[in-house]
Amino acid sequence: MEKFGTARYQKMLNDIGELGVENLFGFLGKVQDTFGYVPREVIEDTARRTGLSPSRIYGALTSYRDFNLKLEGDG
Amino acid sequence: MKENKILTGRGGKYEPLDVKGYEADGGFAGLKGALAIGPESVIEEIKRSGLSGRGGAGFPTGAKWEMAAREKQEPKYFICNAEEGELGTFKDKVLLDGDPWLVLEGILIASYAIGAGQSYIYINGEYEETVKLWEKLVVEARKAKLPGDGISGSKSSVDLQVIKGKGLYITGEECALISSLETRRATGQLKPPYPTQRGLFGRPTVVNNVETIANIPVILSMGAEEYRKLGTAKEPGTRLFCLSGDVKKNGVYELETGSGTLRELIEEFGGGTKSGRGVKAVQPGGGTSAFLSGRSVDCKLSDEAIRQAGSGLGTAGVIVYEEGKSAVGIVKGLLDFYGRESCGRCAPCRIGVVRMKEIIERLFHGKGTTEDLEHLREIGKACVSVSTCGMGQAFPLPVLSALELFPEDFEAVIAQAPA
Ligand SMILES: Cc1cc2nc3c(=O)[nH]c(=O)nc-3n(C[C@H](O)[C@H](O)[C@H](O)COP(=O)(O)O)c2cc1C
Ligand code: SF4
Repeated sequence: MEKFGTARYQKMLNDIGELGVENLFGFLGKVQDTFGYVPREVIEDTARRTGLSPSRIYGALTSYRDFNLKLEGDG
Repeated sequence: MKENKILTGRGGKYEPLDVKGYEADGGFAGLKGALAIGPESVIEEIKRSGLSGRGGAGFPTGAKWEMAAREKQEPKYFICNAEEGELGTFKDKVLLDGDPWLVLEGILIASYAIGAGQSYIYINGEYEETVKLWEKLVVEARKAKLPGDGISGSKSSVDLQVIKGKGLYITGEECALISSLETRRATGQLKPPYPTQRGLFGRPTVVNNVETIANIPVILSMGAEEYRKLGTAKEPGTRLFCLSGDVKKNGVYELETGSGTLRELIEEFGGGTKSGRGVKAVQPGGGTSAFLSGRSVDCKLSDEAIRQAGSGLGTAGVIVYEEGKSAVGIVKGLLDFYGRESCGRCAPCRIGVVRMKEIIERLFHGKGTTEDLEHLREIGKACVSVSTCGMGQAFPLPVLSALELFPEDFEAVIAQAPA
């Protein structure tokens, strides 16, 4: 697990090419696996890129056992 | 009784990422054949083979493909379902790890046959090494020169996304899986419309199980006619039987359908029960299949025979329970699992599973009553008949069958209850 950093996140975005609704779930999964959670700025940024609302993405992620919105133990 | 490894025979013969090793062992014959005859003939051939889905529901594969292929909407999607969350089921992993190129070849053929633009493989998140292997496999596949590259105008014919599941059993259900790929909450849905009509992003989508897909290259390379000689006339081919529970040896065994009996499977492959006592009950089709009693173990290993005996072959996850165990304890274990996994979308399943769990716990702790048994039956039956998806329609089956087959176990715990 890595500490969340914008540079690393940018690289992940570059690796995936174009981010759209077709690959968003998989991408967020990679974010989760890399940083141990999906930071709020990622939800906002991916919402902007895909045209989905942040609340839609937030609502989806909170329904899965293996997605966290906070780093574990971070209260 | 002998295995006939038409799907698992190549397992481990080549290094997983070595496409040349796969090719040298006869790989891609099916894909080449498919490209030579064209999508419509591929679908015809699969229909002729009599292949039906191995993910639990047993839907005829060729018919499913045809439904999607006939839809006008574009793009279409193909999804390989590798969630494998059902209790007592661990066969897909054998194929994903042991012969990944076979599964990939099947995905390419399926995508070609239905005209899918993009395909996905959704792999159980607990299979971490398998997910990593598949991510590398896709990179290798794009680099390698595969039959079919270039035909759709793009350089590589491999347009496959590997998705790691996020820890929910319900994402194995096809509509819930589709919802999750759409970045929505994973829930079952009322059908119709079927995914073949309105699936991922509202487009025609085929979802197939890993084992189903592994059959595709095999059928196309041996021909539907030869394939039909395997197994029974109604259920051609083999099944990967996962043997677990109270047997000496767990394992996955590839057997032609109808080629032996449950007893032979348990004794010859499983080494008999752990304690040497008799078999009390078997779930022949994974954790949501109805129990068969030990008296039914001479039943043939086909869906037809197992249905006649009162259950179904489902995922072919054969879970064995030996004599001396109480059905109440077994059912409690199952409800502990399924009680956590209802997606909550429809009331009968959401509420029913919790109520049934409460009742079973009461019974288990010696505090149940005769009315509790009646309630269990009522709630279970209601769930089966009015739930939205296969989860609510199936999880009560073991409970209902246990009440039928082993009433004495339930009576015994009630007898202990203080009046
Ligand atoms: C609750 C539930 C869980 C399921 N889990 C799986 C699974 O893990 N893998 C799978 O292939 N099918 C699973 N299925 C069946 C799928 O909905 C679907 O029928 C299947 O993937 C279709 O593939 P097939 O036609 O090749 O069998 C599940 C169904 C239900 C109701
Ligand atoms: S049956 Fe259960 S899992 Fe299926 S939609 Fe209803 S609540 Fe969800």
